[in-house]
Amino acid sequence: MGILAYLLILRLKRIFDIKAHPVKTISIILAFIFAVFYGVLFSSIYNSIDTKKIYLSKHELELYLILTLMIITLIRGFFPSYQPIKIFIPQNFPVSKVKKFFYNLLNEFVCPYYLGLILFTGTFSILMKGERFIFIINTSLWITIIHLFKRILQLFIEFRTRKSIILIIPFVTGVFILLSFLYFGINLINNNLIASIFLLALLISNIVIEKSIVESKQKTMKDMVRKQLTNPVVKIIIGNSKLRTILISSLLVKFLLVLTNANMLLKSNDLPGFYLYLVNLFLSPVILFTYIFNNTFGYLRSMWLTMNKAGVSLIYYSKNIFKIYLVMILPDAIITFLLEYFFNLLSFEYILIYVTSGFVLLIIGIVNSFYFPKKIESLFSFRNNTSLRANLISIITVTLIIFITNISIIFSLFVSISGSIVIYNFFRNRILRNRYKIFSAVYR
Amino acid sequence: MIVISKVSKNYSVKKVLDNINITVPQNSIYCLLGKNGAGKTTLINIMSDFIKPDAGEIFFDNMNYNANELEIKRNMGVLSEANYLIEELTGYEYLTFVGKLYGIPKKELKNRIESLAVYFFESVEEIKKVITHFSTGMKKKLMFCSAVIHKPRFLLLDEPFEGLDPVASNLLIEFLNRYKINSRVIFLSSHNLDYIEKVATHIAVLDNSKIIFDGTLSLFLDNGTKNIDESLLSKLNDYKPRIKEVEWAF
Repeated sequence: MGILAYLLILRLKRIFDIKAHPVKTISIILAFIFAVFYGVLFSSIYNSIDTKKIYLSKHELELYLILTLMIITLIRGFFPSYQPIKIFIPQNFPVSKVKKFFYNLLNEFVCPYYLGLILFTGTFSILMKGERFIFIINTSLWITIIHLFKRILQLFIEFRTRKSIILIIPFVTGVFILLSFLYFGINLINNNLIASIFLLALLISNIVIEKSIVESKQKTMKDMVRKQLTNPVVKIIIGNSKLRTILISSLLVKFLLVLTNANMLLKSNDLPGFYLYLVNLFLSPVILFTYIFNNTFGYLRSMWLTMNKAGVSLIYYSKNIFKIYLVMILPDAIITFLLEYFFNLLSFEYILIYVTSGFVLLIIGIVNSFYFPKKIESLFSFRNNTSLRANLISIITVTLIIFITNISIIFSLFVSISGSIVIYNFFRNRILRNRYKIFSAVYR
Repeated sequence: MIVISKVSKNYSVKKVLDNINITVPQNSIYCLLGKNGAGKTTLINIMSDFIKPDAGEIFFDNMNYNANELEIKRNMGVLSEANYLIEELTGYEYLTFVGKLYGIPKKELKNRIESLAVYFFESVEEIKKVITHFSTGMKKKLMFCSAVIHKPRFLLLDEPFEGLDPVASNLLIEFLNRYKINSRVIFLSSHNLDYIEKVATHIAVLDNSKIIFDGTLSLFLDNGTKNIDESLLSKLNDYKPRIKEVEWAF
């Protein structure tokens, strides 16, 4: 245990090594401040649920929070770029396989993401007026479950196993988790017995798979990149146009559904609320759309192609993407949430709208970026990377849908679905016909 | 002594190692030669338990991985092609971590790290930098230091000279020549025949997934009548001069 503690302390020390990497350390500290800020924010929303008219109960908010954290934890391993598993104790060291597994696993949790998550959960649970210990236990249990599940997927992407029959384990586990969610709904998160069974099953599966590893598929980072392009999992997600269409359409649907919530505000004549909603609805989408959609569209693809040819590491790739997002999302988030906070108009919907729209735009950008190679003249050039037409189209569509769907939720859903497909096809056709004109000025 | 017994390995349809049998005697430096893709790295990876063979077994002083995995690994040092350094640590911290893993007492560990650093890096300060900022050669030297810090009896080195400058290579050669005492075994693969000639006591040649030569260095060099390049080329089955194929280039 002494060795483990030594390694964990060293790694923690290194994360906050301001001398070695000042920009990275400051970004991490900023992100941690944000984690605490969001913890305070969510706890204040949570605590005001009984007094204000919010469509969620306290219990539901807890569950949705955990679910969101689970989804983010799973997705961050694969998007925007695949993160290979880190082996801290190599195979040739004299440590038993089970011990080695736990050493490696515990080390995986020492990273800025999990530290931020601990800060967020910690702040939220300290300030919440509710059953904080149950919340902490549930969050830890489900985050570990999802981490272990993600780990199994990574093991299959990166390593060859002795028997291919073992491949069945992640599929069966995934199906079981999904079925349980379908059966119990969101309340599954509260079921500690099932969570413990999943946790135990995933722990055993991880150990069994690690024991049956014959060799690594990943000899070098360069190979890994090539593997990623030929990897069946990545191929299915990126190379399958039908799946991609469904993915994008469903994401757009989600996006538009969030926007239709504006109906509620318009109906209730809550004008200050509506103005603030506009900040979320117009300002943020314009900024996020411009930067995330337009920049990511070309940037990811060109980076991907360059990387494929030159063997640039995925770390370099992810760092640059991070730069794009950090520059625009942080100020945008600060402005939006501070405005709402000081006007006492902060509600779950606002945050949901913001986070969902940002997240959806990010995914749309990433998925779309795989269509065509694009050149980006400058990473942070607003003028060069902005398409006025694309922004106008997005704003007009969003506005139209809000007014058109001001009848009922069911009708909204129908219009949103058809609307999203129409928008998707429109964009896709325009790109196919005249791709250098619509989104970005860089191809002129 | 290391005994490699009937080891075979296939990658899908390609046979990489076919029934390999080698006995590596004590106090020897056993060098594995062969063309690119001959299976040298695969064999070393199997010996270091990075990958599993399809068939066959390896005995380290009559112990095998099935029965005595930890005992073997406690007595083994590996320099592999894969980079297994924890790059966010400094070189010093990494060596301390490895030393602790092998249970070396604190004071002794400090002495060993510092002397290795002075020998390979000229000063201790050099390894107090974060590994990410190390050059390829420095990483290689650090990996070698971590492979020998616990004074292993079995030392497995895959391309130890690759990426090293001539000074570092000669330091390594001197180190290896002094290291082969006390019943130790050094098994290495390399393409650098000049360096091999300076360290090897035994040579094995791997070609078309089979061992085509296994013997002492003097036997390999036909008692000194041939140089090492000639000896190797004459033993490789499909080596024929074919410069005529690219006559257009001249």
